[in-house]
Amino acid sequence: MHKSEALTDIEKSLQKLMPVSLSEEAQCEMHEMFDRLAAGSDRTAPMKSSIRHVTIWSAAAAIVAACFVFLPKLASDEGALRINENFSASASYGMEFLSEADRVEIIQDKGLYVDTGGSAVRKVRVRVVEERQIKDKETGIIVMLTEPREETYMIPVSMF
Amino acid sequence: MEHLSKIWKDWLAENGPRLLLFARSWGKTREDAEDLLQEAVLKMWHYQQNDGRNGLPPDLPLVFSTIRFGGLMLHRTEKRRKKREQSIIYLNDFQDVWLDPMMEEDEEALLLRVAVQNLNDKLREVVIMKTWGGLTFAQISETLAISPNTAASRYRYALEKLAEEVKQVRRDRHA
Repeated sequence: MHKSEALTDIEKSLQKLMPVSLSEEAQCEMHEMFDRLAAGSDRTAPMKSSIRHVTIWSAAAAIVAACFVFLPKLASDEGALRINENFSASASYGMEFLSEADRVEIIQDKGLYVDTGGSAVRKVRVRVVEERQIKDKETGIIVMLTEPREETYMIPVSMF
Repeated sequence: MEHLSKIWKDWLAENGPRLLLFARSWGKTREDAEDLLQEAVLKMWHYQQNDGRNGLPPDLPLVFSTIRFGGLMLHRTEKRRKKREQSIIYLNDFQDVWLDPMMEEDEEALLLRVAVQNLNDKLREVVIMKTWGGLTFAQISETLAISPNTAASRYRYALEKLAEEVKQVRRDRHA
């Protein structure tokens, strides 16, 4: 048999062999992935962006209103202290995350207490306001989301 | 968007097996190869959503390239833990089949299947892309960043090696 004929035979034999299919599990996973991805691209479609804006603006307005209701002494004479700040470039749903910071509004010494174990502790109340700045990429509007929270620290006291 | 999902599912049904076969060159197990394929398809999905593309499934050469890139990255990681030689031995240790089980009844087909698996990476990827991927030498050359002549000569050399192996078995059988 000539060399070229032998190669042709091999080619024919190779074509008779068929690759096996994906496992059922892998196929299901990928089908689910396509469904999820297709649903995701629905969410990010431009026609939906106006609804998205309304939702985000509503949430921002609610948080800001809550700040005014629950934190009447925002401009406290205790002085503000910024304890944490970091910047991130992550973006989702057309919004760019600009900054995040924890601002300490008030630190109050609530005095000495004796805990259940009989040890002396100093109780310190701290009011922190978490602030996040988010920029809407489409409009360029920067929104600040404010979330106040209170924390109480029990600091062990060993010396008087 | 359900329509888009269906298009991709149909595309996977048509091309999944040939892409999986290609991915098996890098995955040590069938599951690894399937993961590699899924990763590549996910990348392709996002790529196809970009400006200027319509979100539809891509051309096969691009998918082969993506799988290959993913495979190379996977191997690079693997290399840190194992030597390449060990990896190749593992690759040849597949018990499950790459090719249609119906063909196993044909002893020569079975032999050929093993011979394809045993080809070195450079030759095997060209054979897979040409025979089962249906790519032209020009497309293969783009995928592998080699010249069309190199792709063609690798393919021819691979066929020669396979033919030689089959011939050897025939000789042994009649001896």
